[in-house]
Amino acid sequence: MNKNIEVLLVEDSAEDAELTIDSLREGGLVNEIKWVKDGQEALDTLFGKEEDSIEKPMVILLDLKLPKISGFEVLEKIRSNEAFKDTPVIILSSSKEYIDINRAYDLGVNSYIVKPVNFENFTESIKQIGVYWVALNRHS
Amino acid sequence: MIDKKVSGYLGIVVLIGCFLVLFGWNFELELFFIPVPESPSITPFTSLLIGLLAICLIILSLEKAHKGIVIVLAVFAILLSLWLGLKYILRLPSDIEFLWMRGTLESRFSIYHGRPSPRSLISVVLIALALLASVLSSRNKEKMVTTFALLAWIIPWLALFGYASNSNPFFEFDELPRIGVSLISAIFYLFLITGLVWLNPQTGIAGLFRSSFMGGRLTRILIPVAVIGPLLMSWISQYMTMSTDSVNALYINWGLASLVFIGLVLIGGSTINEQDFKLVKSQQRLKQFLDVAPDAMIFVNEEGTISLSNQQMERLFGYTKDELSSMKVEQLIPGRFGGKHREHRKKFGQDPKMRSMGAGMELIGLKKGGLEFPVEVSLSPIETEEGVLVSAAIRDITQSKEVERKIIELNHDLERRAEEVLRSNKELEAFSYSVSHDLRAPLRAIAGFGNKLVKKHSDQLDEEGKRVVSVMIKNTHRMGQLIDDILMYSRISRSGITFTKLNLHDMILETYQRLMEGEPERNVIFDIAEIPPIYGDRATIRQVLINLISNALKYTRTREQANIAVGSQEGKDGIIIFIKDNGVGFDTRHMDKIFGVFQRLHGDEEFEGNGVGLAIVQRIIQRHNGKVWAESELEKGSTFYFQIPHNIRA
Repeated sequence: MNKNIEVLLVEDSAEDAELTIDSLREGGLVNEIKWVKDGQEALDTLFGKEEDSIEKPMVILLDLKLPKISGFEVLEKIRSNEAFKDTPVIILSSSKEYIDINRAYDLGVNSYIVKPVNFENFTESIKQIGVYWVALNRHS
Repeated sequence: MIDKKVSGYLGIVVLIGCFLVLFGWNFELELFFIPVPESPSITPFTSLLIGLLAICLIILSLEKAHKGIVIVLAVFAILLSLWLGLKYILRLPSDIEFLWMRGTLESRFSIYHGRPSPRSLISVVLIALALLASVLSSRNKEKMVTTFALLAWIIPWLALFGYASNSNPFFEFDELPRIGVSLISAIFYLFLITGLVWLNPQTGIAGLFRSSFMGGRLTRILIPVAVIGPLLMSWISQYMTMSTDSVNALYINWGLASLVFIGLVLIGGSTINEQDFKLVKSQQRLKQFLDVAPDAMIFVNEEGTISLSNQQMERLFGYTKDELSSMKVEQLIPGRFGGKHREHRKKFGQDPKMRSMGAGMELIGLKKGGLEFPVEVSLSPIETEEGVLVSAAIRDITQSKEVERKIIELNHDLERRAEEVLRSNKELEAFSYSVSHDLRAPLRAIAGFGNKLVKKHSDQLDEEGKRVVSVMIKNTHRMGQLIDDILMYSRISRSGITFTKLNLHDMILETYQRLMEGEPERNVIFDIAEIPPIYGDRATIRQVLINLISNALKYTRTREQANIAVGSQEGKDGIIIFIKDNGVGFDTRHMDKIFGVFQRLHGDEEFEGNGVGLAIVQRIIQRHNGKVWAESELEKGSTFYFQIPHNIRA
């Protein structure tokens, strides 16, 4: 096994990714963060190009609106795989639509964060949740 | 021989005859009063009485009859006859009977010189009574006239038989020889009676005789037989070698037989006539009913021939009833359906039940001239003497077909539009989904990087630089809010609302308290009355409350003390909720603008906002079938009302 990725960030917007990583760092997270730009890349990272190379991050931060393969599809694939059954997945999305939120929870996400325009609120949420999940995983 | 002028002519003939008789007596011309030798003569007095009756008949035959004269003359004739009859019983000698011809008469008669025979007197009385009866306007008039006329017929008729067989027993009757009914008076009486019966050619015997019904036909054939036959037999019998007595008996028999025969013919004829009349009437009535029926109707026999049709049928198909009556029903159907129809007809014949024809099928009729049109047909069988007839009621459904076609067309149109609406709704949904994602992302980047700039590179920014960045960030927030509001506004129109019972009172309080958390330093007197629960959609009504109460708070911000009152009142179409404030108010001239999207009455410097809040309120209330309105006075305050109908239930 390769060196484990600790946090996987799936985000198509470079700006959002940078701000998200900034927030996590600001919250004191020192773990390695891997950023991928779309759903295909995320699946490639997690399941590897070969069958045996499975990456297992401590937490997955997932945007919903992604090029190629949508966040929901990624989520489905993750949850239907035995290896990732218990991996915490947090949705980071611009969508406030109930339909999206409900669907995400139905597919088994652990948390759903609406990315607000107000960056300070966003930073706060990311800090809290990111730190929480990382800490939780460390203890277990 | 149709109208009552015939009666008049008969009367005139008799009257002239009477004059001739008197003329004959006056100049002793025997031919005029004893046409048959050795038989009774007609006395001058008899001809006088008959003349009176003839005048009555002539008067009655006129268009405008003087009934008074008739009554006077008839009564006079009756009284005279009765008086003369009484003189027979009292055996009084003749006096008035002589008229002016005493000498002539005395030389001819032994006793009762010139007095009419008793049978003549009876005949005169009966005919006079019949005349009187025909003047009366009684309900039984016809019956009385007929009865008197028939009774009066007997004596002259029997006399005529006597003359025919040359064996008149009246010659030697009683001790009054040679005072029987003369041939002339007998004929006069029969003329008068015939005229009398013909006075009313439409009714009574004349009516029967003239009737086109079966009884009339029978009477027309049998009455001449009854009249002429026995008379002829009686005439022939005088040439048979028989004793005078048996000839007399034969004459009586023939005469009576004739009378009985005539009577039977009249009774039978009138009875048959009555029945026939009723039958014809009921047939006519049936045809009338058929003609007023709303649908075209035909009756078709087992061979498919039309036996009866009505007026609507003529109108609908363009054939006359006569043309239809010999047509096959298949001629009313386009040729291509003819064969099938014949089969159906046979099947229906085997199991006739009332039903509509060709259920689920388009039926087509064929007009004269070849025009086809859609029809609806109801069939029902009728048992008749001619076998089972099938009645068919036919209705032209061209119009309803047209209407049906239009409805289908409109429905298609509606479906197409509904699809369009659905599609555009879907497009709108996709659009707003992408707006909510993609429009916010750049804003977030601007805000986020602005923040980063201030935090991480503050040493390179002077105060002005920092202010500029903070303005940028503040505006990204406003833009974010605007996007959120617009999305909500469009979502309200699209998404369904669920009605539940809402504790509005608590919802208002909760909303107010939450909003006040943002402005804890404000001095607000919030006055809420008891508000009844309503039925509505929880999420959207909450939004209404947020928008209205936050508006009230916003526009009272410049007040030292803000007064906000919330209450309710019963409206005509539901419960009305109002939110009243003592804020800056607005100019009511702009009332029509405040519920429009992006409509603002205040500048940003005064009061922040994007002009979507009240539009959202209006949309939500409209989705509840309610309405929203406002009152305001500048610098005094505003009151916003919304009304939710009672009849909406979860």
